[in-house]
Amino acid sequence: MMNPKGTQPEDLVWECQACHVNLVEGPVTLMYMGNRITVDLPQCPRCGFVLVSEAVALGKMAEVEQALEDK
Amino acid sequence: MTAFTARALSHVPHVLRGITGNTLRPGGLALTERAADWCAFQPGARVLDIGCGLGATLMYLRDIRGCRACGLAISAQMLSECRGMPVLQAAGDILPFYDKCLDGIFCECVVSLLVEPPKAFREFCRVLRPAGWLVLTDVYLRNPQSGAGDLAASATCLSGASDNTELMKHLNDCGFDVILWEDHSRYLTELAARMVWTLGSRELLMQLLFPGGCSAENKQNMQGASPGYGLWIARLKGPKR
Ligand SMILES: [Zn+2]
Repeated sequence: MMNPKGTQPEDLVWECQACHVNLVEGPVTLMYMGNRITVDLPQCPRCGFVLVSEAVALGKMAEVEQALEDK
Repeated sequence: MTAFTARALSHVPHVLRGITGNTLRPGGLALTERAADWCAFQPGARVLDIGCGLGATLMYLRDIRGCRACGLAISAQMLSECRGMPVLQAAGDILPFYDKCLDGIFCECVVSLLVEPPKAFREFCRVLRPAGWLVLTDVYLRNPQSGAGDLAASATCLSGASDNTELMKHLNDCGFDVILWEDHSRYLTELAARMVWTLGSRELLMQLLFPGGCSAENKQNMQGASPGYGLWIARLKGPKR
């Protein structure tokens, strides 16, 4: 599943298992320590399920959390 | 050289545009709307937006509120972004307007770029009608006693961040009553977080803010001074009795 070089999770077309429709990139509001930031993440247009890949969770998302904790 | 040219942005990095959505400042249009409501600008009100950037405030004041708003910027390159709207190229402290001809002035994230804010405030005073409105939003230092001096060495808008007490005093000395002051530091934090998200890491954000590098000491000073973001609404005082 993890592919060190080449295809990244964000390069793939993801499908919602419950709704059988393709996820689309769209705005999601993240709340952390009372701050709210809106970012684009793949989500199911029908049920609203949002995909947070491992790379995003451990990468950007962790960095943003750190930035907010530093304030 | 005028005070305004010193550190004005001549162009906007594309990465920043994506992040700030054409307003180029913390809070986007939210504070602009709040201030316009507070001042109750009516359709037809003559309002000047100093440092009009990519024209987001101008568009809001004209299209949504029906004000006769015009914009001003020091850089011709920036003005070319505001095509189709009345904009002037001029410095913030030498305004090409008659005395007492404006109902309001917006000055969003601009004062921190001025070398001599009081000079600009006196000029605002000249062109505003009696009881005219001045709206300021800007970065300020929540803890100015701590290490702010070294911030001046960095080439970002944080280097001109004011001390709130000093800013209030300047406004008062230059003929304004500060009617409203609000802390909106949350917007600055959220903008920083959004930039980290878009760039991918805190390290890349530091590189964008400090192209020449930032020492650990500098970084510590910046955190100690605790940069925040504020909204000031001031009103021109009446004639002296
Ligand atoms: Zn679904």
